[in-house]
Amino acid sequence: MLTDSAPFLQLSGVSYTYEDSDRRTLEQISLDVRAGEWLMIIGSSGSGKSTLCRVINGQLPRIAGGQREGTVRIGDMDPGSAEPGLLASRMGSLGQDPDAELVVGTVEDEIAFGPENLRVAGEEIGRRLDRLTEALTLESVRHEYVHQLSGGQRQRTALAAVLALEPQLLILDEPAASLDPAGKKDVLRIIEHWHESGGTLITASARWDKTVLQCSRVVILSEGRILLEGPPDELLRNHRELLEQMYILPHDTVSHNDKQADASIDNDTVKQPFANMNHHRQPVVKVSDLTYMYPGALRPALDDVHLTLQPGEMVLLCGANGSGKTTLTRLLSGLLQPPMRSIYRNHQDTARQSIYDRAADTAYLFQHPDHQWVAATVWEECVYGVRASLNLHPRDPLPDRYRQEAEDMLRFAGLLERREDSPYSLSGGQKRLLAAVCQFLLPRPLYILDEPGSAADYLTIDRLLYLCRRAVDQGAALLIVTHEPELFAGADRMLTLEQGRLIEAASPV
Amino acid sequence: MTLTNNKSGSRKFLYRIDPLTKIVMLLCISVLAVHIEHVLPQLLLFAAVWIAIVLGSGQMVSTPLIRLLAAIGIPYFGLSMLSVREGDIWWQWGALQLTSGGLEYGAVMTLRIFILCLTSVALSMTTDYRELVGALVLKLKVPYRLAYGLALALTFLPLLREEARLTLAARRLRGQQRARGLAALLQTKDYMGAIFTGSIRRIQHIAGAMESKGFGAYPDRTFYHPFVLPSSAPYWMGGSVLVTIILYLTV
Repeated sequence: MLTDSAPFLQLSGVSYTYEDSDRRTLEQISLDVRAGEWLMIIGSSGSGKSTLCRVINGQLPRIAGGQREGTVRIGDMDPGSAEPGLLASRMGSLGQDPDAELVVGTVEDEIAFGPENLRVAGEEIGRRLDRLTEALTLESVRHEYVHQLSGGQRQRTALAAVLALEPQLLILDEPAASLDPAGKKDVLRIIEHWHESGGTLITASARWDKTVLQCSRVVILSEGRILLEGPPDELLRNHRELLEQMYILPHDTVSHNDKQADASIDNDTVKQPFANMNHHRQPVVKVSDLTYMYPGALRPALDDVHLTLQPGEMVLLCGANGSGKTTLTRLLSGLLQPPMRSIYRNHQDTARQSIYDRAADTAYLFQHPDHQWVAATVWEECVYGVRASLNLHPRDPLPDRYRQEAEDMLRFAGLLERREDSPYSLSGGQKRLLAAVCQFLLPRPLYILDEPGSAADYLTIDRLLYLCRRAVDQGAALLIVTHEPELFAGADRMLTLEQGRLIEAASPV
Repeated sequence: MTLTNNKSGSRKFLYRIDPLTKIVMLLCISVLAVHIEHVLPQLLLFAAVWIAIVLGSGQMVSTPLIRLLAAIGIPYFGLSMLSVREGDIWWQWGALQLTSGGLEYGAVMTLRIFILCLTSVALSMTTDYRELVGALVLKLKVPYRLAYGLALALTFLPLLREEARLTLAARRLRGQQRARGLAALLQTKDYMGAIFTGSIRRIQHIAGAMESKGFGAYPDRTFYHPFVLPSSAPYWMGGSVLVTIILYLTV
């Protein structure tokens, strides 16, 4: 039974160890959350915030196994062992990857699925559907299959599906990370409105942004422990320096990070292949009159796109969710077959090239790093591209020069100690860094990064920026898809896609 | 097969008919395929099924599916053929014998497998699994947890295909070249392992998402869109059964 005086959620001495791991990801977490409170958990990549969210929502250890110590109570219920019906009627949760939250079907099916399980009457489900599709601007795609939607639309669908349960507690782990600014604003408005109506809210974030000031209390996590706790303005006033040191608040870290990186990566070995590219101003890629339409679509995803990327150029590609950014990058990388006479590399029409040839000159970072993994361990993942480029057989040893370089890169990313772990076991930020390291280890003329900074802390972004700048210095062209251009200061140009049409920003970033 | 639950295909017959009618049709074809013991009628049934699927879905049977059928069918044909020793002996080497009866048996059994595979794939690819669940639960009174289990098993094929697409794309973008000989076998083994790992992870995600939305909490559930059997369905089902009985008695 819940009373006003008792905490709504109570964690006492909670530690958690993942299966096949010998170190605790959470260490002695004790925390009370009152009904109607908005608690924000902030921590840098790998601090344990997503694990804490999953322990509170009961997914750990119920689904992923592992060992939890201590107690977690929501009223009289332990989410780790509660009946699914009881759990779903009290809380809803949403993570960073919408694909992990959706149960395949149309938008309407997804939103109705939870209430149907809780035996809500059809008429009431209809009312909730109308309200949520309108609030989250999903009306136009209400009958579309979720796998046909853009990343942002899928994320909004996943949020609507959770809100349709009308839970008392909402746990959101970076819910707006893959959304465009308008989408972020919409989602935050919905969440705030939901909280103001009396709901208890727990959100997790890698960065201290302006939404933090709207929450009631902040918990700063570091290495699985609660480091600081209190009202946001108080923490900001008393601990700004510490928060900057933890890369939760932005600060001028690039020079420091560059020095650190220079000490750990031997640049000479990777500078050679494209060292003289700046002298030839031949475009790395030239796109002219590119119009692309998916089979069965009513309008083109890209419409008359013209674009040239020069060697040594860093270009940002912005645009609302569903504007065609991912389609453009997939055509450039060779993941999608380009139309004839639209994309040229070295004066050759890429439509006439095999996928292998198109891929050989391009590094591509997937929006969700999990889609990129091809190996069982961090180390194998890191050296996969090198081994493939050298045409090594599985039992052939990796030449010393490349092994040293891969070790340096992993050390730079802070992942050398985790070389034997599965890439899937890394935190969100660590996954992004590993995905980047794997690609930047091999010099290529063109690097395409699809939302590399999404939900990453400032240290991860600094490290990503370092790798980007290094590649640009070596003569490569970079195309970075982002909803946060301010994170990539120093880019040469910013392009915006609006409903498939490319518009160049008037001023550089 | 390149069949999907997409808009372009949704106007075609196989996408339009309800899941119960499709299940009845599939059962009828299966009964005939198991009943027929001669090559020519089995071949005719196979051709009829193939044409019906292509016309009914508006899409061609894809090369990967043909390759898969060949990979299963050719070894199976060889083994079945050699396991029966009836009729004229055409070839002999030690204990191995190729007979006319063996050849016919091998062909019939292989075609039977092809027919069962094709119809199952067609059902899987052209059926909205939520609609199938509604039909099973509301019309056949199958417990909804079991119905969802069956329906999700049906979605496993498209899931495998999507996972295979992603895995292949990731590998190509990471520089993997097409290998030959023994290296190709090792590459395929590695590739298949990655696809299954990815698919299992996706299934785990789906299971987790379902549970977090209260799936299985109560013995029954409501349906926002209750399944309604189309008025034409009994005619299609009855017609299918009638044709099956006639063919069963004549072939």
